[in-house]
Parts: sequence; C-alpha cells; structure tokens
Amino acid sequence: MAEERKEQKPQQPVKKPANVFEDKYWKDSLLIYLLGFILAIFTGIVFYRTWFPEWKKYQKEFVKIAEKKLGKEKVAKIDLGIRQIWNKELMGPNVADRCVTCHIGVDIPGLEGDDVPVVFRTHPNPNGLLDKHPLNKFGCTICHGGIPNALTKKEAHAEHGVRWLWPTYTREMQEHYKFEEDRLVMLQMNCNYCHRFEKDVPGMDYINLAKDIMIEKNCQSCHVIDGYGGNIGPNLTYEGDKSHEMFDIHAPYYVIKNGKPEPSGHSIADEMKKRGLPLSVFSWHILHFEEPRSITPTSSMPTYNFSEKEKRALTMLVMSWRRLDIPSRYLSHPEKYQLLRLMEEGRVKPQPIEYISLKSSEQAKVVQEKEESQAPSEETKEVKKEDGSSALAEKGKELFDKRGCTACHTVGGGRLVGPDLKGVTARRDKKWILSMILNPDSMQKNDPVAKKLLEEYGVPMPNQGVTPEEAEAIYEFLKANE
Amino acid sequence: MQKLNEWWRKLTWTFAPSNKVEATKAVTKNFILHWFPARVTFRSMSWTYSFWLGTISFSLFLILTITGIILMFLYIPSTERAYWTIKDIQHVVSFGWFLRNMHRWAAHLMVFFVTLHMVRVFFTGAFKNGGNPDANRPVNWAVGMFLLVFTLLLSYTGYLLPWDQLALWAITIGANIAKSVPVLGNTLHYLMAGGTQIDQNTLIRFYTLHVIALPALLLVAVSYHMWRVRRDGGLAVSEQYKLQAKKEGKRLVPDDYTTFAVPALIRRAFLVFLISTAAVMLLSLISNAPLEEPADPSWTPNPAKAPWYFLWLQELLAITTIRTPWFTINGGFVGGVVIPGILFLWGLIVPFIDKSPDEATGVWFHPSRKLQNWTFGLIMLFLAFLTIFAMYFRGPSWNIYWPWAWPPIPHLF
Repeated sequence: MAEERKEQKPQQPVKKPANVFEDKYWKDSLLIYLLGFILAIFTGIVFYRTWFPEWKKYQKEFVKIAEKKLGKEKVAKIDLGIRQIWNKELMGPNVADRCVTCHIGVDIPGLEGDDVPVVFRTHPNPNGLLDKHPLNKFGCTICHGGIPNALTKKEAHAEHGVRWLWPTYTREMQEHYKFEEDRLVMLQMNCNYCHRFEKDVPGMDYINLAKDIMIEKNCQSCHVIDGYGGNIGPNLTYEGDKSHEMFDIHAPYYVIKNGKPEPSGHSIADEMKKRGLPLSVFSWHILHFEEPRSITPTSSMPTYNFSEKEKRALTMLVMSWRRLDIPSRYLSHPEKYQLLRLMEEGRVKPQPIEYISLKSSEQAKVVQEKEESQAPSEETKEVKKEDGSSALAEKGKELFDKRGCTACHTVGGGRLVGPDLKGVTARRDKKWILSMILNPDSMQKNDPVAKKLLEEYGVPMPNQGVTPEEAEAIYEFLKANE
Repeated sequence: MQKLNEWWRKLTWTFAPSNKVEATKAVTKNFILHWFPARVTFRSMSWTYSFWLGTISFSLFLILTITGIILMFLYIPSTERAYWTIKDIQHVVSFGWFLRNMHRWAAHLMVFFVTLHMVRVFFTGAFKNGGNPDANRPVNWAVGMFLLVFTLLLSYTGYLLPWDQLALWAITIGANIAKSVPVLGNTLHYLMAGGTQIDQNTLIRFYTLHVIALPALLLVAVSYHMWRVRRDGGLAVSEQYKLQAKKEGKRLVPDDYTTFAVPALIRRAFLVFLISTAAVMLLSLISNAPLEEPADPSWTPNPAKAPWYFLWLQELLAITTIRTPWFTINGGFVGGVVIPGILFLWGLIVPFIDKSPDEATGVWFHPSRKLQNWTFGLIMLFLAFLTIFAMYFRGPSWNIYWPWAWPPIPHLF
C-alpha cells in the first residue's frame, strides 16, 4: 500500500543521473535473510528428527543393560541400527518385521531375568515353541499382531489412534478385556490361523477350550463352520474377517425378563461402557456369547451360561477364523485348508472336517485311565438302578450330548430353543420320535404335529446325521428319563 | 579464478545492478529470466493487490516437483507393494517422512491457492483487457480454468497412490461420481479404472497420469499462462496507469510507474517462494500425512468420502438425488453433469460476456461489476459451504451429525 500511495502523487523529483535508479524494494532483501534464518531452524529440526529417532534411544538403553548382564565383548558383536526379519514368502513383498530394532534381546540367550525390562528380554520358549517356529523365519507380527514395517512404538504396536485393524496383543489390552492371566493369551488367536484344524495344541489353552465347547455343543448343527453345518444361524467360517463397521453397537441392548428379551433402554455401546469393556467387536462377541438375545432379540441361539473364561475363549476362536494367504507349507494340515477351499468352490460336497488332536501320548493315557476308572463305577450304579435297557440308555445319553441335542433341548430343564423332552415318550409314540430324530426335514414338511411345533417354536430342527441304531439309543435314554 | 568468475556471471545474473543497463541486461541476456519483463509496474509489485497467489501456486508446484521426483525413486506403483513402500518412506528412508509430508501438504495447499488465485482474478476483474490492444487476458483466464482442472486432477490421481483405505475409497467415490453420468458414465469409469473396479490397472493409470502426463500438461499450460501475463503488459492493474494518463492527457514516463524486474520482481518472487516453502515445512513438522489401513475392497468405510476438493460434488450429488418410496432419481445427471458443467462453461466464457467499462480492469470490487461479483461470490460461498458441510457434518451413512457427536464405530479390539 505504501508504495502505491507514494507513486500516486507524482513528485517532481530532484534531477538524477539518467542511468542510475533507486532500489525501492530493498527491504525485501532483509526479509529474505529472515526467511533464510527461519528455514535454517526448520531444517535443523528435520535433521534432528531424522538423526535421533525413537528407536535409537531404545538401543542405547539396551546396550547399557546388556553390557551389565552379558559383558562388553558380547554386546559389541550385536549389530545395531535398523534391524529386521524378512521372509518374503510368508510376509509378502516389501514387508518386513522391524520389531527387533527395539526388541533386540529376543534371540539373545541370557537376558531372561526379571531384572531385564520386558522390551529387551529373551523370548520365552515354552514347549519348544521357538524351535518349531524359528524367529528368523516367522518374524513377530504373524503371532503378535501390529504393523510390520513401522519403527515407532505407537505405530508398530498399532496403539489406540493408529489406523490398523489387528494391533499387538499386549498385557494392557488383556487387562481391558479383564483376562485374569498375567501371561499373553490373546495372541492364541493368531496361532489358530495355521492350527485351525487341530485341537489340544500345547500352549493354546484358550482356543483348545473353545474348540472343545464347539464340539460339545455341536455349533455346526445351526452354523456353517469350516464350510459345513446347518443354516439356522449365520455362516461363521470366516467370522474374523467380518468388517468392524458391520457391527452396530448403537442398537438397543436387551435384558431377559421372564425368559423374554425386553429393551433395556440403553445401547450395546452403553452396556460395554458400563462393564468397562472397550467399544469393540471383541466386546460385542463377549456380550453375544453371554446372552445372544440381548443383542439380537429374535435370535434362536440358546443361552448357554458360559463362564467368563469360556466367553472370551469362544470370542477368540470365532475372531481367529480368517481367510489369510499363508503359504501352505506353513499351515498345519494344509490338506484340510485345501478341502475347505474346494467345498467353498462347490467342487466337493460339504462335509465335516475333523480336527486332529495333538494330545501327547502321555496326556492321552492319563485321560484314558481317568475315563476307564470312572466308566465302570457309573455303569454299576446305573445297573443297580435299572436293568435291561439301561446300557442302551447310557449310550443314548452320551449321544444326546455329543450330537448337539443339548443345544436346543433339555430333559426336565425347561424349554430352550426346542421343547423340553421330559415325558416326550409318553406324549408321542415311538415311531413318531424316531422319524423326527432321523428325518426332521420331511417330518416338518409333512407331519401335521411336527408342522405345528415348527410354527410354535419358529426354528426348524436340523438333521444331525444320526443312524437308526443311535436313534434307538436316544429313544431309550428319553424313555428312561420319563 | 578470474575466468571462472566470468563464466558464472554469464550463467547467472546480478542481484544488485548498479545501473539501468545492467538491470535490463539481467533479464534479456538470461534464459530463465526471459520469462519476466524487463520492467514491472509498481502496482504489480504490491502485496495487497494480488497477494501473490499465482506465485505461491507456482512455488508449491516447484516444491511438489522436487519432492515428487525424489519420491519416485522410493515408491512402487503396485497394489502389493505400494502401501509398504509408503510405510518405509515414513519410517526407514532418511528424511522420507519429511518428503512425504511436504508433498502432501503442498498438494493440498496448491489446490487451495490456485482456487484463491482464481477468486482474486475474478474479483479484481483481471481478465479484462482494459483497452489494451495487445492484451488477451480472457484467453489467459480460460487457460487458468484448465490449470485449476489440471491441479485438481493431479491431486486426485496422487490421492490413490498410497493404496490405503483412505485412497481406495476416496477414489472409488470420485470414480462413482463419474459413473453416475448418464450414457457416458460406464465408459468413463471403465476408462479411468482400466477395468470394472479399482485395482492394479487403475493404480498404474493414475501413477502415469500423476508423474508424467498431467505434470507435463500443467507445465506447458503454466508456461503459456505466465508468458501471457508478460505479453499482456503485466498484471491487469497496470492498465490503470494508462487509463489514468489518458484521462489526464499526460504522457507516461516509464520511470514514473515502473521499476526494473531485476532486482525487484525476481527478489520478491524468490521471497514468496521462501515463504511458501517455510509454510509447507512448518505444516510438515506439525502434522504427518495420513496413512490408514491397507486398501481392502471388501470393506467399505462408513462414511466413505471423496477428497475434500471434490466433497462439494459428492454433496451436490447427494442432495440432487431425490428419494421417494416409489422411485429414486439419481443425482448423477443434475449434480454430476449439469451443475458442474454449467459452472465450468460459465467460468470459461465469463470474460467475454462481462461488459463492464475499462475502468473496472484490475480493481477490487469495482462498482460497475456488482452483479458479476455477487454471482461469483455466492457460487463460491455455496461450494465452500457444501464442502465444509460434507466434511464435518456428514457422518455414517451420510446422515447429518454435529461434528462432535459422531457415533463411534467399534474397533476390532
């Protein structure tokens, strides 16, 4: 503005030599010097940030501690700087686990003690875990979660506020979800990526427990799991891949009053907050396993009264079911994964995939002995109580539990999804009961009584693949409990 | 040493010419400075007339070119690797985080400042020739409109390259806007994506456009744009001197209203470049460029938003879509074609239909241009309102929320 005003009043100037001119804008030079100064400061900050990253502080501290524990000579041999584990086949191109830049001690023996901070400690090796999964091949994130390439704690652990779906499973996270253990258990989810078709795997106690429950309750009678099962509930084969945006935590939360769900007046999110659980899919599953109808009031899934531990175990199991591109030679029983793929593509008929038990022979022996020692005593009791068909009824009871009937029916425990079966042998004739067990589909289509029951209960009874002999045994069991 | 000094002097120019001959020669004898006129009017030099928005825009383009070329050495345009090379740039490459932040911030700022530059030119009536028979400012305004489009396209194509959720879904939204164009929509989308969905083919298309095709186009257009300014006799405000002299019946003496480009203009342009650089550096130090989860076509974030400079378009599409229980009229035609098309065409021809007197050339808010300025101002305000509204008030499912009352979306853990 100043210069404009100045030239608007044409001053009749003092005669100047024609060739010489006045530099009216000389002040700009000063500003350029000022900017140069500011830019120099900024550049300084940029250099500082590049030369003194967070990981260098960790390495400095590590050297101090390791020199005390291992001696200077040994520490001098350790490569410092950015360190990484790279396995292109497993991790993919341009992906590398740089966790070992700060966690230098993981593969250095002698740093086990409690006096070494957790960051620098030697990786524990329970059950020879690391012998089967060598660190330099498997890396870290495949088991622990987190962002591979990152080099700051916040990013690498994918702490809150970092955009990443599968964060590092830390003890803090377990505290949020109220796990009681002091050891890391949530990472067992990641074990199950490769050990999906195994059970009783050493070190996977939570997942093992969940798989036992799954087999006991026969979840597959209502859900497709591993590509096979009933279609009353949703397909859970890749439940872990379901987007978190699909879980509506703002829907109303229901409480069960007199056996019926009633709106509690607050949302699922409020319920999570009330219980001190994070607003997450993990919490959603915990609440859902506790009482399915509190989330979906129309759900026909029974209430199982799972313990706190069981709820978490089951949540971990369903969230571990993901479709991942892990090379087949890293998978346990790759042929079973292959079978699942073929079933999905419709090239193979849907069929159950049996889980391989990894129970060590010694463990198995103990269990067997236990079973043997218990079985006769029970049988004798039974024999004393009743005679004749009691052996068959005993087999029927076992089948009743194993075939998943308990998921929907009780005997004298009241109505669940299906009717209470106490006294059913008096209500209906034997032929009707047997055909209902063997061919529920055609019964529910044609038989007037079965049709009426379906109308009343709303949930069709699935075909459980029971053989005629087994059906006979189940009938005996039901009759014995009349 | 003497010889070396002489060579250096021939290659460069003097910042402090001791006389007029030297000052003139500094421009005429130098290849780069040949862009500039030998003399520049005082009012062109003013801070408050032009705010130097064009120079700022070009400075940002220079920063983008320099940082962009370095980033090209580090980035791999592959759907498998792109994301991870960006992570490496942020964490492992020396100064990588800084380069990427600079590039990101300069890109956003460039869109912003090119738009501001356009607004300034309109409000000052700087696309008018002002009676100067040599000037052709309407054409330069049209070139400028295309430069704005090139800037938007450059920014848009660059948006996809990190191949994260933000990139994938912003580009998907943008591509869907193109798809909703009647008749041509599908072809246009196919041409953009190189297939039916955003994948490797799209990435390599966008990459090539971003690093070669569009910068080359922009460079050619901007060179013409700036040369045109020199041919037109400087900024439009310079016409005022001649108009005034004509009215007063005086003869203009160059020394009364101009100074030499060297050092005044060159130095101030350099100063503006430094200020721009400092601002971008400061932003880069304060705030990191975002990088979300790796792109996942099977998981749509809610809400998925276009890049901010296309949000007005997305919002326009949303509000021109009419939903009734019986039928739905897609906003693609009205919101996606008709309104933006009319706006652009009106922008192109507005200098030719602007019949205000010569006196209105290069004057902020000249009274004779009330109608034009109000029309343009209201349009720009409306677009800005749509952008801000879509940015802060559109939550999940494109529903309206207060910015602080967005319902939280659950994490996985």
